[in-house]
Amino acid sequence: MTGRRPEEEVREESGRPRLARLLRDAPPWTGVGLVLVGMFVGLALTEDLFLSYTNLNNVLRGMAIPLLMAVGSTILLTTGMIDLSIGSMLALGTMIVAGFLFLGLPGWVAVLGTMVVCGLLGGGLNGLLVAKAKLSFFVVTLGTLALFRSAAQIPTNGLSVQLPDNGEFVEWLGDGRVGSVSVPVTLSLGILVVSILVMRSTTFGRAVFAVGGNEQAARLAGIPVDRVRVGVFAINGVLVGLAAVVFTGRIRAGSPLVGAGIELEVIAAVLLGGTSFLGGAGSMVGTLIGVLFIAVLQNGLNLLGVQALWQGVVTGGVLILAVWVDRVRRPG
Amino acid sequence: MALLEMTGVSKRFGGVQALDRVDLSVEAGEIRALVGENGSGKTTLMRILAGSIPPDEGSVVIDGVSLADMDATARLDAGVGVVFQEALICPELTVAENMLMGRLPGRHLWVDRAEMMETARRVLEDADLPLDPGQRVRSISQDAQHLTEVARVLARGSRVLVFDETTASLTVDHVERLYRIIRATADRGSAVVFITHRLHEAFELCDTVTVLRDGQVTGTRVVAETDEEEIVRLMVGRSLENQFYRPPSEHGELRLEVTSLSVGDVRDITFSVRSGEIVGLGGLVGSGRSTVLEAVYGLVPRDGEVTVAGSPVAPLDPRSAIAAGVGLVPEDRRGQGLAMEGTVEANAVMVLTGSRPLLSLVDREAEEAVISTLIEQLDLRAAGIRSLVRTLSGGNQQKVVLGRWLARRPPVLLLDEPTRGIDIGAKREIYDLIHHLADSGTAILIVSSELPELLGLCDRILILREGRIAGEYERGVSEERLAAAMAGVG
Repeated sequence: MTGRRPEEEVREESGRPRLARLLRDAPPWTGVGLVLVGMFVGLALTEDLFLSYTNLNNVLRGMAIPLLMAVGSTILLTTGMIDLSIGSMLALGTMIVAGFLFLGLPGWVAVLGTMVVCGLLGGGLNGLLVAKAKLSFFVVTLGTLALFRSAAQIPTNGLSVQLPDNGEFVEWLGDGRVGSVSVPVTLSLGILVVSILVMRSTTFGRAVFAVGGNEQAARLAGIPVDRVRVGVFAINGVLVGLAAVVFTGRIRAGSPLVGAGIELEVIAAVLLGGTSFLGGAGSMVGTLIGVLFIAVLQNGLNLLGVQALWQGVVTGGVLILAVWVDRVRRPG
Repeated sequence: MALLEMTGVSKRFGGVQALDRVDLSVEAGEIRALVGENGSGKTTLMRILAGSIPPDEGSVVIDGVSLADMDATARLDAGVGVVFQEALICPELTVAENMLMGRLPGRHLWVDRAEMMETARRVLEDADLPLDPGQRVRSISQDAQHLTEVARVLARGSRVLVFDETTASLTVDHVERLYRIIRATADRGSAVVFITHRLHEAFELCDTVTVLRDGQVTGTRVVAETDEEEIVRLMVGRSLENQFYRPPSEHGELRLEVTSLSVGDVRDITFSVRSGEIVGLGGLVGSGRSTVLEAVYGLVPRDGEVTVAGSPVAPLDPRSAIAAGVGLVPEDRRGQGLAMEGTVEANAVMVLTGSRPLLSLVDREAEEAVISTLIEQLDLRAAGIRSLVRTLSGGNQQKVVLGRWLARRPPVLLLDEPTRGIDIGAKREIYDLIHHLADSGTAILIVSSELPELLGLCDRILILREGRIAGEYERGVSEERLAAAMAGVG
């Protein structure tokens, strides 16, 4: 490794004013980050409860599950795809964990088993149908959205199931703490860090960007495009499986009804974080900021006494705004 | 007062002065060539004329009427007709519907189909365009789609017509047809602006020529009173002599052998390329040149054998071709070559990424090597390796596509129209690079539509006609003989 990037040796095609260059080089999530800081400061000044330990803790704990799912969606969206089925898969995942525990399996086996099953569902069903059968990701995952939801409801006629006594490990993952550090929050941040390393430092990460940037060009360069697509859907499944475990631990039950609509919140966070709707560009740090943004926004709405019924209006508006910003930033 | 008067037009994009006080006036009946290297501002100037972007300064006046307050639609009605480089057609509509889009005949919501077809047919017949007005555009050739675009401008009866590199995507016989159409409209009193990269076209067709360089007009000449040498000087600020010259060289062992290759209409192609040899593949559009490259590389299913340095390459598997040592620079940079929204860096390391197992760490040293090759050997001009490929000129984009392969030193390199749409300066550099690669032992197969390019670069030229090899020529063959072989005369 040499210390100096060859960057410095490239000749400038044209001189640019410093401000313009600063704007160009700023990461795409800069704007959202600034608004987030503004929101944070505003809430801290006007709402006494906001900065309380309990409240901030709630915000962070609420963030863990969307963050786990958003990491998978960021990788997917970087290849230019979206998985609409993640909310249903989350519900199915909670039922799978619960099922494994009822079979008397040890907690860690149930957890890994759930992640494997969800990975297989994501990669084997969504991934193969998109990569090999060449179906549109939109159609495939819209189909599996309905399919997974039904599959989650069938075993118990749509009823939730309380976790049996061997559910302690799952509950610890979902709601436990070590000292004063929350387990699910640490887990989700850990996964985020790993994913940053994977995207930056592995051939797979490079391939993800290449496939999203131009699938044809990637194929011509010898990148195994189909394998990358299947792999990305599988990883996404594994992460949704993990999120399902955390969810299950938190509510201490498997529930076939949870997670409806969470895909929109997750995708909004990813888009807010600067991952392009068109693929080829994505940022895990941006995704963290996007997830934080939505968590703080929802918390602020609660503190301000905005009715829950109205919160969809805000989340939906933010989603559209995020796509709009992406569009303005990258003109046709 | 000329029919078209553009005065003092300036336009900035961010830090780049794309146009700097450009004056362009074209008389009724005049055919004006607009030439200049890529990025010199030709297309920007025409987009300002069409109203797709506003100028920062300057005025556009047609027949004494300022277009300042008109949007793109109003300008169409005012008589501005531009045939842009990229076809703006709706593939699911018919030729007639595309031609008359926005002004379909009829009453209220209903279209009078009979009249629409009749009008379209009349325009096509007048222009002698071999198009069927009732056919869906999706089902006609690329070539015909571009002609549809021309027909649309004709159908509007525009008084100021612009053809932005229209000939680049047309076959030879259609180019002739386009010339006739342009001459006829000029005779009827239109002002024509004809943008081209091929200087000889400007000399064949046009009355006058305006040269742009870096957003400024460097000169306007009457065609009869100038020559290509002077125009090139105005374009690049220096004259390019010996644009092609490569001393004959020694060729080594057989590197690429293709035996009885067949794909669709392409039949029974057999040839070989030696180490250090440059072989050209010529022919008209549709003769199967690109198909041969794609079949060798494994992008389309094929019959027949392909071996590289003696070992066979599996069909339909680019990874097998790459592993055997074949590299491909595709014709369509935008569609097949580059992630336009990606960085220079990300695009440059794509081949390296493809050659490594997915579950491996990035080899940063190898990546740095690819990038420094790109910058040092190819003299890439970009604001930095993190700048987006989209912001680069065509020539520099092509360098990125080529640069991917360089660090691998592939034994066989397939180049499909390697200099299409790039400026003369960058062309020169790419020729030098091809020579350099051949000198270091790479076997090179080039597809090109430009005969002088094939003649200048290649040791041997194969001419394809209707999917078969119609002739093989050694260095020194005349341009006329190649053209005759391509067309199937003589």
